Amino acid sequence: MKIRDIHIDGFGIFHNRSLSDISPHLTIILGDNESGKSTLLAFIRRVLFGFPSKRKGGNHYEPLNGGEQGGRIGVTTDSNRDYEIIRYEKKSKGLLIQDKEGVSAGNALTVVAGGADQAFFENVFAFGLGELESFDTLSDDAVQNRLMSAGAGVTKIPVPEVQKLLDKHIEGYYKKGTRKPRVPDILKQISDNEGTLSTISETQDEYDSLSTELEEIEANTGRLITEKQGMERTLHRNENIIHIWDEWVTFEETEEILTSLDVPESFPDDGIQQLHMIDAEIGHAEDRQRELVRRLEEEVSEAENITIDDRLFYEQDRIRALEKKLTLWEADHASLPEINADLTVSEKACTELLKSIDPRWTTETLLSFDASLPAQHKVLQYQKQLEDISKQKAVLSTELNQYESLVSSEKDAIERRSGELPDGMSALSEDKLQAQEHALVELTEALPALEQKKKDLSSLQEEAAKRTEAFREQAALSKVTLPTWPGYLMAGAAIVGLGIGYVTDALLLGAIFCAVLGISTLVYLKAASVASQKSPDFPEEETNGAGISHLIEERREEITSLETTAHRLAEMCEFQGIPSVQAASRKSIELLELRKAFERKMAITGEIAHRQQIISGLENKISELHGKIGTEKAEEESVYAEWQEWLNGAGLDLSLSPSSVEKIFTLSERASEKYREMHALTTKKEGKIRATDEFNDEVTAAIHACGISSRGSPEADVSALTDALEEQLAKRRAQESHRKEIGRLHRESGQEDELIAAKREGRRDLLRSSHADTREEFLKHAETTKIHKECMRRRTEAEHRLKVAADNPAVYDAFLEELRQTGLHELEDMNATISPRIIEIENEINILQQRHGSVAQRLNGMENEDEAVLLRMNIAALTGDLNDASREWAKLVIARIMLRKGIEKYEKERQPAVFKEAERYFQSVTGGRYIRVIQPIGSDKILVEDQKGMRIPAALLSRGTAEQLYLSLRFGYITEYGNHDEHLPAVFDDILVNFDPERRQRSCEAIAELSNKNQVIFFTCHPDTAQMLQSARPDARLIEL
Amino acid sequence: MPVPQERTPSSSGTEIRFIHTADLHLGTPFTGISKFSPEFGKILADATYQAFEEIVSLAIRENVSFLIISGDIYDSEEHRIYGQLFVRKQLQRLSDVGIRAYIVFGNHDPLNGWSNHIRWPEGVHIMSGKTPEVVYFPSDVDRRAAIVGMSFARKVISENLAELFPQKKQDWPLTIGMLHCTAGAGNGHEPYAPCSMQDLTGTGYDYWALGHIHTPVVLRENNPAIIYSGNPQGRDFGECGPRGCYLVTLSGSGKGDHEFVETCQIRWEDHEISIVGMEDTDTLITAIEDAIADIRENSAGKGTICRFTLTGRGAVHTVLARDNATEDILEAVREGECPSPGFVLIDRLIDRTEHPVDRESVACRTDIVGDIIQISDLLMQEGDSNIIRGELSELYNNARFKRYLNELTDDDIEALVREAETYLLDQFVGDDGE
Repeated sequence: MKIRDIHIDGFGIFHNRSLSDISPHLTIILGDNESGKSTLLAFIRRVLFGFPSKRKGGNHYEPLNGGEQGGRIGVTTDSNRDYEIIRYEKKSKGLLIQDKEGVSAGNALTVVAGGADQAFFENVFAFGLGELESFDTLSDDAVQNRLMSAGAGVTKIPVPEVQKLLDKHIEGYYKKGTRKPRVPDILKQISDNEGTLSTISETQDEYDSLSTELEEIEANTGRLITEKQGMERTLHRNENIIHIWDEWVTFEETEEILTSLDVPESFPDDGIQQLHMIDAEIGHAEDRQRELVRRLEEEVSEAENITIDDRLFYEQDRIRALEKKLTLWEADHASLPEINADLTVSEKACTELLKSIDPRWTTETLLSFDASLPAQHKVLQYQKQLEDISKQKAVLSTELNQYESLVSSEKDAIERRSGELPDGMSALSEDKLQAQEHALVELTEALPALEQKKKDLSSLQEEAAKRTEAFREQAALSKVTLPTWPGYLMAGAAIVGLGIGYVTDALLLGAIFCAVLGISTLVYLKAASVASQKSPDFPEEETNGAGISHLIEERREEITSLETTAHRLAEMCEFQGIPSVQAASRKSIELLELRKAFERKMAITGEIAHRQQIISGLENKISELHGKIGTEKAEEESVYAEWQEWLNGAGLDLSLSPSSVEKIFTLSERASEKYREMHALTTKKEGKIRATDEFNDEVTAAIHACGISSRGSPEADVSALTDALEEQLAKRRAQESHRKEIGRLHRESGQEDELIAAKREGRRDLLRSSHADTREEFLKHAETTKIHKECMRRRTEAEHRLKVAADNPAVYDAFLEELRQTGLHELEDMNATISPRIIEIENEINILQQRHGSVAQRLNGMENEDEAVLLRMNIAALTGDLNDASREWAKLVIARIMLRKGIEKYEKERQPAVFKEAERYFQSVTGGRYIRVIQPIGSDKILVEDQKGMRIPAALLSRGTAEQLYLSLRFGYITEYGNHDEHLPAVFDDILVNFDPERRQRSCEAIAELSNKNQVIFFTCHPDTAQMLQSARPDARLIEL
Repeated sequence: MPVPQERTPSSSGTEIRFIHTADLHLGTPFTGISKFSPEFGKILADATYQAFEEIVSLAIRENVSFLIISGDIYDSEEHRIYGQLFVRKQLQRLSDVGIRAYIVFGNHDPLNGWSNHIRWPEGVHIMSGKTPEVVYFPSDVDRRAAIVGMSFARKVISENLAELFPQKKQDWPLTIGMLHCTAGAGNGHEPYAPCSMQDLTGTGYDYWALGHIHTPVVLRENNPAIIYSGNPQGRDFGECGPRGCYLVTLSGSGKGDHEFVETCQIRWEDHEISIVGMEDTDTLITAIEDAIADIRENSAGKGTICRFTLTGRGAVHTVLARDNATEDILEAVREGECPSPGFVLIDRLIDRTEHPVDRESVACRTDIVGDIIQISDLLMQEGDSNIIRGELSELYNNARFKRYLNELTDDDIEALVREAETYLLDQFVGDDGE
């Protein structure tokens, strides 16, 4: 991981401060004291690994210049992925790690920082002088764990944590001396189950024992039951006798009474009740007879006091008729004003309708007017005929106007097109124009050919001239040769060169020079010799001009032929002589325009002729339409004359149109209806008046007949008659009622007399039935009979119970004899002895039965249930679990053995790698004075060995050398950790202040080397340190705070 | 007691049909299974009884002439009466329909192990424990078959009882020998009443109904057929496969036909599932569920106790290595299983999977992970398990636990070392092997 940039929102003195120019290798941050170097180191530590609790002491770097405490650090991981680590002190914001697209990568720092944690990072990677001075910070458990894991090559989880986890797992299964872990817990469950099983096992012996006991119980119970049953029978018999002892006594007493009684031969069962009933009935009949006589006398008296007027009975029918008619009379009388009002309304409406038809119309006119459907149909026919004619006329007029308009339009068009005819085209014909066009086409083709032939001729003539000149030049050149003197000059120079070399003691150079020039001389002279022997050699045809002359002649003949044709065509095209190609082109354009004008003229002329034909057709149509319109007008006048005649006959205004007469039909119909209504009301009114007059006369006659004075109005008179009649009718009904009651009372009185006589005879018969002559004698017989009956009942009941007690009719007599021989007290004494014994036996049986039940239940349970199987299966399952858990424990114990061996191997073989690395750095920093760094096995002390082999404990080293040792150790850890995990940035805060200049220089070089793999950010306030670092690593970046 | 019904057995003429069973071991518990719910507990506890009841029902259904039980009906050491009474109840069912039963007792239920109060139903004959007894079916007068048998008078009999059996006589009808014994090798069973095949074939019998060996096996097909019917209900994962009885038909000429009929109520199944190529636990769960569906489909309505051993290297191993992962998966695949016909009770998931990393390449690493592999190999190569046994003796030699714990063999130790290695790899190495 490397830091790319830093942005501080608020932290200590910084607010909204960014550092972006951070090198992936070495960055030096130079600043004076209090410029914020330590603040920046703290910021990096805290954004990466969190802010400490504010409850703890120390500097919390509160934002002094504003902003929210926290910020972000941009980093690039070893796998070359960019992330932003954003952390604020405020817990609600917390830590956020996101990639460059802003996608959250969760909040686990392992994404960017691998397995490092805060303590490890702050003590090994990011430290100041304070941490450097103390080796203790390196021996912290958390640091050692990380170091060990890094050194051991494990990053997922530190080795000691695995050890702890393993121990915890092992103890979760089994730990000697404890019962809570899983294995002892299962064992306890097994023991519990075995305990339960032991209480229910071996049921066979129990079954055998219980079976034997059950047999004995059943035998004893049977014996006791037999004894008990015998005793119960005796007890039962004794109790039976004791129970019926009273009945036995009764039986004997009633026997004695029955023997002594004198009972009459017969006596009615309910004789006494019959006698009393007859006496009561006679008394009641005599009371009713007296009441009937009293009421008879009252009825006779009331009937005699009623008087009746017969006149009203004679007029009864007339009075009832008047009563019924009265309602009708009242209705007729009341309806007259309403009829009168309706009549007035109808008359008025009829009059108004007649006026609206024609002021001259009367009801007579109305009645004579023909408003029948045929008449209405006739009017409609007139209306339709007139409308049809009018419409036809309008159609024809419209058509006429359109034709006239079209004629006018066509004439205007002819005039306009005539004006458009081109001028001066009268002499031009189609044939002439076509001939000129063909001639011009041929001429246009001939002219370029003529031009080409002329050019060819000129070219041939020039070629002929050139060839002649060339021949002459070639002939002159064939006589030139190379001079030989330069060759000889070069040979002389070669000899001179050789001589100079000899004189100047440089014979070799002279010989080389001489050889070069000698060879050049030979080559040149050879070339000159060849040139002088060579003669010129031209082809035969190149020197002969006869071919070209022939061609020239051919061209001239072709030109003459073409010019003759061109003259002929030019004349046809009205040219003076042979025109140029351009002139021919211009003529072509002229002819093209002339062709267009000619075609336009022909089109207009054709159009005008066509339009004149149209006008002629239209004028014929107009003439035809004028004729049709005249015919329609004549028809219209004829129909109108007929209509006038109809109006006159109907008595209507002659100016009326058929449509207005249609309304008159409607009005006349409504007027006729009103007239009929008026007539009906008049008739109704006359009928009502007649009926009321007749009713008045009838009432007056009835009053007189009944001798009643009139009350002044027919209604009152009818009422008086009705009341009088009802009164007389009521009196007659009362008189009739009294008469009927008197008759009924007479009949009832006679019946009562007969009843009293009959009852008295019945009483006499009753006394005779018991052989009694008197009432007293009858009562005595009744008493004797009653005593006899009672004794018989009691004796029978007692006898019945005795027979039941005897149980068997065959032994009844013997039973009675036994009763006669037995005493009650004797029996009671015997029972008092038997009962307790029976209870004793019952108790014994109960005890035996209870035992029998429990034994049988147990045996039954044994037959139907075997809970031991389930228990044994539980034990088997638990034993399986115990083995599983023990096996898991064994696996973990073996894992612990293997891990222990692994750690031992690490400590022996792997850990020295860290010290080897530290040793290399330390040797370099101290300039080779110290050559080894050693940590003895089993010790946490560090020794260094100098060149002479002397081992010195770190504690005895000078402060500066000790710091160099600890720095080297950290470098060793950083390097080794990076071999197995993320290369974390190293952040050092002015850690070289106690180093002498030489060692500081070497330390800077070591830091530069470290920065090859791990990014290093170095804070310092010393410009010379910064300079040293820059010298050691020229690409280092310097940032000044 | 109901009066036995008049019946006509399905056997005809000189042909005899009977059922041969043995080693019922009624009421003995299932072993080797893990926890089970109470509702399953009742079914498991009743399974051996149900299997015998099924055999009796089969006999009634098939209308056989008689039932032969060749010993070990129940384990008399337990001195439990229920099993004996249950046997009596079932034999009463046979008696009620007129089917005879011939019984010899074995080493687990010798004659002296039965209650004197058991009243055997009519038609049940218990063979003597003194000498081989010859009984004729249906009677001494009407001889259609001779049954020769001898019970164990006591638990341990090391004599060759087969030698005591009489030779088949000329006038004997079809002869069936019944004996609880160890014929031949014995395959790990206690060598009670050992005998050779020659001892049995030499008697001239037509059929030997043997008991004692729990796996059904036909030692000889014919002349005579010598058969161990096996136990009718397996009781642990060592007794997987079909369990039942033999329905035997013997003709007058001594030719016979024997048909194995499965009667067990619960089958035992031990399956292995490889996680190789599986991407996630969903795939694993699907594989287990598919296996369960297969078992259920082929169960013929019988219940199954099943154990899955997960093997192989793969991505799923990392998930399985987490605490309680296998328990969670077990719970998921067990969900909804109830003791209805065709149930599949998953006893346990045994995780024998290995970390997905290539072991050989990891062994080459120069860090503690490589060291662990090397240490693991060294422990195996040296065969020096004394260090391990020494540390494990704390538990395995502890008197309280020892009687319940299976002794660890060298193979066990080797397997444990590999599992321990896997455990450590799980802790140290990430999912991607880094």
